[in-house]
Amino acid sequence: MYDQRTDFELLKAAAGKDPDAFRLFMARYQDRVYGLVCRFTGDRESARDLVQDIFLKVYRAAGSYTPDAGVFTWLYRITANHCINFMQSRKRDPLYAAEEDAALTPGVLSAVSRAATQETALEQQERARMVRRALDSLPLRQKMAITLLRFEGLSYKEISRVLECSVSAVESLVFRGMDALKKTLGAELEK
Amino acid sequence: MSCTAMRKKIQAFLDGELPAGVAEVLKSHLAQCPACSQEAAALSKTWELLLELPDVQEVPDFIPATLARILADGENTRSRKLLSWLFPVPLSAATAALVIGLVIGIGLGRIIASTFLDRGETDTALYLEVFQDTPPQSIGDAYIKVNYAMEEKGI
Repeated sequence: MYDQRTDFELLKAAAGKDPDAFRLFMARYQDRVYGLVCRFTGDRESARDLVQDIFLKVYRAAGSYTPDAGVFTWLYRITANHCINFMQSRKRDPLYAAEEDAALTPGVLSAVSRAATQETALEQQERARMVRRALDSLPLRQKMAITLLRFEGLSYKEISRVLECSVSAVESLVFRGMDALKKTLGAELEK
Repeated sequence: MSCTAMRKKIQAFLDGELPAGVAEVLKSHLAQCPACSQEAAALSKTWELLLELPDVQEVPDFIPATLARILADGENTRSRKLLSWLFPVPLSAATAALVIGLVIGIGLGRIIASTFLDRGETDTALYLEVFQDTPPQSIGDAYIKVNYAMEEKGI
């Protein structure tokens, strides 16, 4: 039977140590959180651990949630901060450089190319790899702003709430990020 | 508005994020300026290229593993509470207090010793007398003292 409790009610219940309420909350949002984490990190294996970490944080913070901030904004804020912190710590890790190319796991790519011909699939994979490299070369907040805009469909105003900055700051993040992507990908495509 | 200023607004224009008045100005500028129009086209192409990133499919179920971690986290929290109840002062604080106490104790001990115990010459004389043939309060010393006393009394 469908549970009609609002997100706020579920979070309040979860804060009162009701695991069933949190189970329902997770069922509503785990797809979107996983999607954002996958697109931002480009690493499905890390995303599996990160999503658990994020929901553990959400559970601990459930009592502090107030409905004046939309649940998406609140959840995306926790997710964005966690992802940015993770990528910052990974960049400092000397082992990361060696693993960087392996980050685009074949499993992520295979779903897209399954229907295509072998040649087209390879081209698609190469283009996807190129876009991923270009995206990964951006400063993390620019990358997050573009990810939220392009893949999650958030407006500048919503992104400003997630990243806790002004709308004009988001405009600047998106402009600089897209300008850098345009230059990097333009140069790559001309090769 | 100059082309440089216009170009900073093109992405927001493409995203539909500009106020209507500014969007109208930019739109008419793009119609007249080939360079800015080319810039807009390049940004649009970049925007489309982002879709080359694969869709996320087959989302795993994170609920069982996460709930297990929440449960384990709760157990750890209970253990920490029990430990803090048993040992209200953290071990690090107790160690720090012990070290500070030792330092203060040694310091005070030295000050008291140097102020109230005048051990200089007395100690040195006492120690030197130890090496005499008949050290003070030894049997030999007692024998000599008794002999002197008997001689004085003429015994």
